[in-house]
Amino acid sequence: MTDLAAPLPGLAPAPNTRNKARAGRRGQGTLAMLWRKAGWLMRLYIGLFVLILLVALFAPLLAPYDPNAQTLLARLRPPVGFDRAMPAHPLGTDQLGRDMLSRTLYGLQLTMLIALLGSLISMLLGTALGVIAGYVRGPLGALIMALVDIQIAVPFTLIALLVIAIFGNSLPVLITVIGVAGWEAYARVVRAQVLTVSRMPFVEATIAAGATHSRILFRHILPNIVSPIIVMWTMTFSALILLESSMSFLGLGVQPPTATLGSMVGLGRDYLASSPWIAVVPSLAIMFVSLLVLLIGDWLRDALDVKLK
Amino acid sequence: MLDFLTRRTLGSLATLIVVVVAVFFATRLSGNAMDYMLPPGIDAETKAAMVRHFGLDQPLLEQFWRYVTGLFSGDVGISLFERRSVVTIYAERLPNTVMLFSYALVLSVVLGVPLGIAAALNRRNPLGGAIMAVAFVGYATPNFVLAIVMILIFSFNLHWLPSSGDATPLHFLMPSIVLAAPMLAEIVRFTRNALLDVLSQDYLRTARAKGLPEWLVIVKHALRNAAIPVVTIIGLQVAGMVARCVLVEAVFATKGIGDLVVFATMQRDYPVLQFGVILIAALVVVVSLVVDLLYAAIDPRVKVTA
Repeated sequence: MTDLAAPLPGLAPAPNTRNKARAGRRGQGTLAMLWRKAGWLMRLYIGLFVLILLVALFAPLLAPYDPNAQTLLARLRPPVGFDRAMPAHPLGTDQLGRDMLSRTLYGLQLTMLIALLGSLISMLLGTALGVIAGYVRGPLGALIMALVDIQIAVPFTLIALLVIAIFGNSLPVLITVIGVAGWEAYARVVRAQVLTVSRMPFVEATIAAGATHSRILFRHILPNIVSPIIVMWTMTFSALILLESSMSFLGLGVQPPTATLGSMVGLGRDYLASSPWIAVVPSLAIMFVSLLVLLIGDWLRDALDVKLK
Repeated sequence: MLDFLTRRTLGSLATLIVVVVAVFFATRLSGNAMDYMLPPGIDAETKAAMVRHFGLDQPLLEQFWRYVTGLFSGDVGISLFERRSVVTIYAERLPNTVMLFSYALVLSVVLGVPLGIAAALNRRNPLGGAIMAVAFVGYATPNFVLAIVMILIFSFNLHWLPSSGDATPLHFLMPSIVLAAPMLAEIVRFTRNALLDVLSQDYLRTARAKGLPEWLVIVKHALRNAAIPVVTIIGLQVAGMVARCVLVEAVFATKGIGDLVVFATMQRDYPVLQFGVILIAALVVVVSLVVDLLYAAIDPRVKVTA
């Protein structure tokens, strides 16, 4: 995952008291430090998460069938191990005879893609606005924080519904909506962090030495607030997976026949009584991924010693 | 204290104003709502008549004025889909949502606080660990997944509970549990952590030293102080709970506000949708305000710092 690796070079140039291991000079060192800190269980979680990412990435190679190909003679077959199962469809088939394994793999790919892009947009937007609110301050900063308060006050699902009613539901709209969903959390945390860091002696020294704003920001402040941003990222990532799944489940996400995990559950809902696996297989996949990300995020927060307040 | 009250109230008011303005102009962004509502190939004359009928041909500011005054007089237009007054439709739907919401709230507090206490007192044995593990899973499970699992088990396998609808109180049991789950998990976690914090305080040692029985120490001295973060959590979770209401109602076909809003989105029924967003936002803002004020009343420290 490039995003986990990319921001890690941080924690470096300016003295960082939290970072006890001086080895964390470059990204490699920080990653190695984290890996050493992880117990075997956490290593297992991380390994599983990487595996999921790889599976999502290579879904087209792994899927045995076209996810939208219908085999009407093999409709509603249960997964292997149940009556009437077909070995050719290990996870069964849906009401149109589409292979559940292939659909789950492709659905996973799309769900991860949407959550990844969405969380990236959230991160960039929220961090930029948080930096403005914390570094530039002034009326613009106050306006940003007012927007944060409003977004906290209004349930985001409503905003999403409104946007989808206006712009229709397509993939770009969905990704944008999901990207906008998480920005406020970043803005809040980043602003607080920027305020704290910019009062530290080494930043004041840099200002006194006559450094430009961009140098102060990019060389001195941002590298020191990378840890909370990474932790926030894991938290928003799982929240966005759930948001995307919920929207798709309601039929407000991607359009059929394209599948995400959420829309598969939504379609499977109508067959719960007779063919529960259609909804259960993607449900389990969603739960598995979101649990993993939450567990890793929780651990990362402690390992990087981040306080999100 | 008064300063805090006024600032908090003004902030809520500003939020509501922004919501009202944003919702109105956002729904007009996409051009004419009629384009989506009417069947394709309809003649221009009929279309113009419909546009006139719903007042969509007037200048934007005039429409806005009518809409704002309508909000205060209770006339927020007619559903484009049902051809009935929007307020009537919401009045019919509101009781179900309020019921669902209150059941879930009561459920999460009544179960969450004792479970949190149990988890704190048993933190060194398996019971505490088990409670926290269940809470974590409850927190991480998407609502609709939990709903589907519960329907499978309790409706289709055990035949104990109805899978959808809102005819009897029994119909509300599963939706309430699903709606309560994440909040319940949060309350368990927070009660446990708050209680653990308090348990290590000096005044608890004093209470024990003067010979109070353990249950009195917990209930009278520890729990009172641990209650503060729990109130905060309820305040923080209200917005999320309302958002989940939308999903839960859709899954269980509860005829409430959330179900209505989703349907309006699919039908692009703007009058219904815009009023729904404003109504729900108003409810959330008011409830959060009340919780905040309550918080200030419970915790004397808030008055000093705010």
